[in-house]
Amino acid sequence: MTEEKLESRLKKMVVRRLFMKIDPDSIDAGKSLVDDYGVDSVSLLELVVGLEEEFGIKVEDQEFDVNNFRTIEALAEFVRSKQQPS
Amino acid sequence: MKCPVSIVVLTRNKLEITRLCLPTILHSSCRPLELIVVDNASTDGTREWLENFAGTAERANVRTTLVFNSRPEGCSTARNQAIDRASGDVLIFVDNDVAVRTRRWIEILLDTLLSSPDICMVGPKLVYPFPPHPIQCAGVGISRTGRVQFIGRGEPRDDPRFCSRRETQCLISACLMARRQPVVQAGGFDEEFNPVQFEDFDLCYRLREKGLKTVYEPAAEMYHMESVTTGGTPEVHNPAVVVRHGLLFKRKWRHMFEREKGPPDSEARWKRLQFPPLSSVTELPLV
Repeated sequence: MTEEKLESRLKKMVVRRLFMKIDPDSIDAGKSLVDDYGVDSVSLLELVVGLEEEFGIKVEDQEFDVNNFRTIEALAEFVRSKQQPS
Repeated sequence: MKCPVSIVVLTRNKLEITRLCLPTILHSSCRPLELIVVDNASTDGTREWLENFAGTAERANVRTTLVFNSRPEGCSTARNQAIDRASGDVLIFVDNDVAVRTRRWIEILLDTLLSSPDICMVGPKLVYPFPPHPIQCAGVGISRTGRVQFIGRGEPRDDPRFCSRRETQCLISACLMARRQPVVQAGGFDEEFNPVQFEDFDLCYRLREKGLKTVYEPAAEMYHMESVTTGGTPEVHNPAVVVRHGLLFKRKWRHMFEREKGPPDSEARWKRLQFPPLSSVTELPLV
């Protein structure tokens, strides 16, 4: 999947899972999800669940790092790192 | 003398809030009363203040026990320490950012708790300390995917939708009354949820799994500052704890909540509410 497509999928997931009333394409991939889009800690939990259910990524209990959820760009990088064969 | 009711309060710094809230326990009409305060290694003068407060509480006929931990134990561990020391058959867990609004709150919650043998926990209507005191939590709903809804949060205090006693999926440990025996039999609070977050919902589900009920009782109202106790400290990174424990909770209890009639996901969102700073709270009226 291209970087652009991955970011687009992530934006749609964020909007859908958090019931945001904005166009997914209007999310700036480099802007802070917390500061600019009002994503709080409870919402972060739902994004982790979203990654598990929609991207098949298992986030272990001790593995969560808020920096991976800072922006769509950071999220995409995290997804890529988890999808790479070890 | 054995006190029938033991109140458990945890402190970890934030003395200015403890000083505002804890003395209001003495305005409760219920006596005799036991108070157990577990301090998790505060460094801001809380310990000295508590030692002084204990004398005041004793003079108000509230038997007081102070437990000082030398390092910050988690909320589950600290509450379990208090349960071991409590003499009451009924326990009340109260956070240090909760203050009394209804003087007869203990009697009201107790009446409800004892009204049926299968009721094991009762929680009051929690309201914000800012006039006109909107609802902070009127019981907790869990959606079929495990999302948490603080029922009534931000709605008017007298909204009729939140003025009737009813069974609820969960209660928050900011303020809840419980029968001691089933809590002890269930093993108390699960220390896997240390330092904080979701340990209360986990206990509710463990008790409800046994067929017991958790009930919301709106006739008793208490002030709750919200997220002062659990809102994170330099050593507790709140978002990470919420995510870690949220995942743990969802994995542990999916088999129950996915079969329950919880709220829809779209209603289980944390609304952003605007309030004045806590420092503006100077008076907490009693009713």
